[in-house]
Amino acid sequence: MPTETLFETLWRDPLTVILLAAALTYATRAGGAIVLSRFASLPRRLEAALDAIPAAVLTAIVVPALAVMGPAEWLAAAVAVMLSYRFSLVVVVFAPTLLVVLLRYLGLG
Amino acid sequence: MLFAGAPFGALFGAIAIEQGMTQGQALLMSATIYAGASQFVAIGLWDIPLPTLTIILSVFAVNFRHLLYSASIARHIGHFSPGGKAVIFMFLTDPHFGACENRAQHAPLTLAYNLGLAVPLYLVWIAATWVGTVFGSLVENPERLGVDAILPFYFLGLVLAFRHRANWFPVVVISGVGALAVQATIGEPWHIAGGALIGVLFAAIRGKPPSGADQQSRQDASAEASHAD
Repeated sequence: MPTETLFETLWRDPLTVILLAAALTYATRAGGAIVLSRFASLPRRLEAALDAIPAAVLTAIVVPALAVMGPAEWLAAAVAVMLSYRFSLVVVVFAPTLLVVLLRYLGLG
Repeated sequence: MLFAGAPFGALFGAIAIEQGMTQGQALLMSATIYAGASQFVAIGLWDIPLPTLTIILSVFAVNFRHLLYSASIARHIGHFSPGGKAVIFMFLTDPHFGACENRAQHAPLTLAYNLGLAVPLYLVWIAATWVGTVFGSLVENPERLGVDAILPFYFLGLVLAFRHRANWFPVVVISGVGALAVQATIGEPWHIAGGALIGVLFAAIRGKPPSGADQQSRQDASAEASHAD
């Protein structure tokens, strides 16, 4: 410890790491809105871009996640798409999940 | 959906202890960072002496997508007080954002709705972390119960719930293919923000269809979404 500076000790302290990571995370959550507040009225293309964000980000999370899964999950995802034309979100989520559990139980997952 | 994240919180707590974190540190991380995927990345890098810069930059990379969430949700919470906004940003997780955007398609977003969603999700996450730190070995093999599949299907369900929005189909295809391409080239975790930005950029270039068509599609969406949550 004597060779370490006080800064080095603080910099590598778990509390420092956790709180810095938390501060950066909060900055990402507040930052987009703060940048957007600079606009008095939104340009048409920016509005179109913002409208696309939910589907774009959630798709970018889901597609790679499903890609590393297997045929059981792919089949269940196809079922989810079909169910979504007729049923509420709860059914769209839990019916495919139960199907995956069943297929895994049968050794097909 | 409230408890869909719980297994991951418990898993996080269990791995954190295994990685040499104290229970207090694991709970503090869940309470202050409050972003599952980035917490897993952080504890994956948790070796003494701590590589501080590597950890915080990795957490930032995984959480970069929240910038997009924040920009999108800002349009629905413009009427909140600065304090109300500051509080809601703390809780802007993937499921929170998805549920709010879905809700905003057919009803104005209120602070009460946001808090009613945020507080239980937050408490479940912290409680699950605590359970994981205490009973770590009991949450092994969660795949049997399909818990690893719930969140992907939830996010898939939300993507489908947005299908009446302008440019939805091309945006989904481009973001999905883009995410896979970024994953294969630049690598994780940039595939999420990267894939999404390609899809969002396409929507910006394409611009918006005539407002009449958009109004109609919003009404369709509200009719459908009214029983979706």
